[in-house]
Amino acid sequence: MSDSRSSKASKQRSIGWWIFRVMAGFELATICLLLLFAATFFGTLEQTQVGLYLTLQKYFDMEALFVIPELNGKIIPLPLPGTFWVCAVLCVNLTLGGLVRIRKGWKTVGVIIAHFSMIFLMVAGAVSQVSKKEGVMHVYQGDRSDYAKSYTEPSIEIYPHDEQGERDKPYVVKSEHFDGLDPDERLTIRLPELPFDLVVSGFRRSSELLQLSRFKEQHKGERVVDGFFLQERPRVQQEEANLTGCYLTVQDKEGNSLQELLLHYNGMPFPTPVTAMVEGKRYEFSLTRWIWPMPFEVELDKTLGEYWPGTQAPSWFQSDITKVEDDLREKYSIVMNKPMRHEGITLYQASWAPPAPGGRPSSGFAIVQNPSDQWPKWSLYIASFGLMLHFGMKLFRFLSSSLPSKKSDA
Amino acid sequence: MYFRRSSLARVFPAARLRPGFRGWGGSLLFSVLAGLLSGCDPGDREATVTGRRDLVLWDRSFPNNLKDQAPEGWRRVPWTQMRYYNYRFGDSEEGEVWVSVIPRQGADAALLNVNRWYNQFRLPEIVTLEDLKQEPMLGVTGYLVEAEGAYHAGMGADPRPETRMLAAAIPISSIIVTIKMIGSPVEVEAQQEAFLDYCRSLEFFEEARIPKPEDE
Repeated sequence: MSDSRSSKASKQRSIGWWIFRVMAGFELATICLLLLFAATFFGTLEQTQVGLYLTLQKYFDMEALFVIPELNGKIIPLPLPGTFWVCAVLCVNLTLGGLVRIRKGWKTVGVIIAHFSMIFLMVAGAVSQVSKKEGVMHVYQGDRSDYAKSYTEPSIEIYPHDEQGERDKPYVVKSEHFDGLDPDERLTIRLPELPFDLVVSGFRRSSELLQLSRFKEQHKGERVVDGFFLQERPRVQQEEANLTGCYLTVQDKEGNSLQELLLHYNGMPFPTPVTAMVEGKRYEFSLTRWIWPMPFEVELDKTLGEYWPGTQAPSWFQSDITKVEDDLREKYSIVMNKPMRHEGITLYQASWAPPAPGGRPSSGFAIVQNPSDQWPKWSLYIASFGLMLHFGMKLFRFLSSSLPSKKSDA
Repeated sequence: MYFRRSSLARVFPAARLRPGFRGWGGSLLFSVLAGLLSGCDPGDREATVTGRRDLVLWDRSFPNNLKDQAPEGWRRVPWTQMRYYNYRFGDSEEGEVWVSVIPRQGADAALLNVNRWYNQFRLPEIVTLEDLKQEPMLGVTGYLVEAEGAYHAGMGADPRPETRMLAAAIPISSIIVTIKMIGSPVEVEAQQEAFLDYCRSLEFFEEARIPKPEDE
């Protein structure tokens, strides 16, 4: 009787109820955790072969909807959903199941806090994925700098010239436009404020610039511009070591070609642009890593470092800097694991180079701007508190029930 | 805490598609697959750029802190390790100008370099730089070299007949800055003044140094 009543009730439940049931279900949580385990397992193995940058992009990027693991160049026939989206589903699942649906009371308060901390941790990861900026600032002792340069992300900069013939503020074609751009794809860049547009073609993430007159035997029919050609190089594991290159066509607004150019990033600490004249004005075009202006200047007053004996691995390094922001000058000492923090921007001492003969030592500061920088730490504090509360209460209850009562003693 | 086990069919009763819905669903599935497959084809992309970045010290940094001011008729082409500034000029853009910075190894390093240039034209060597025309450049004395004939650049490059060269060697402390112009005799002749103006325009420019109190 009661069985038929319950089956009648289950038939009457709405689609929304069923969706809620699936999304808040323990089964979904288990599937998500298994998928995360598989992605982490294969990602860790693959990272040793293709490098960290490519693995992070492949498995953990927001744009990775599905991933097919590869090991030693062989495809593992196990398509996995992108980790970002698995975490998003797990986040919804934890919210519905672990916060909304869960039985609420003193007995579960610790678990609710722990669930909340895990949701907070995943939100921190999503915020970091969407809005984190990262770059490096190289400064010689006695020099100053007011920008960071991305380790890996390419950008094309177009400098108009001012009346004195000096570089004016550049137009920037951001890195996102080059994501997944293949050598046989074309990217048209419309520049409404300039008298020309650009077409990027032959974009190569890892390439070498060769002069035809000197490398005739290496030329295999590649396009030659200004006596140079680009040759594809195998992409190395350290993404920052891959030198990007592309061909650029400057064209008028009707699409007629005005100038063919070849751009190549060479890792130099200064721009190495090529130029074109359009309507009697000179413009410079540079392929570089994305340049990030800082809201302050860093003056490197002194830098010291030491290597482990017989190695090139730094054992200790320190930089004494002055942060200059308008008229405000502040002294900081940055050492390993003791960064400088300023309005959401963190400067870590990432590298140090001893002086070359007759030269000066230099420091490399990794600069990160991440609104959720400290959130994982707080989420772990919250998780620790929640679990200690939960297990503390369990222990207390266990001890209370284990102790013989006064009545039974009597 | 969570829901108990449940089968997919029980969770999603709508998953059992009716025949009419199957046809519609098939079309939808086909459209999605077609969309996905068309996304695999290499195609053209387009982006509109209006954003400008503030100028920073990067924009005012130059190779070896050497800043130049090129004439309008010269077009800058890719940089190489040996060519800090690399230009093309002339109607067919076969004329070349480039600036190099080499270490000055020994007191006669500039003379050796000048004689290397003469050797590239199979011309006799000189014994002293004092025989050359001199011009103030980069705050020191620059030595001007001219040559004409078949140019043998070396490094695997084919010889270039009927070529004229204008060059300058500027020895400064531990380096030698060299500027070299190569092209047809007519085109180089037409660029002679521009070449000298260019050599004079070179300056050392280092804005990244921490300004001393007296500089401010």
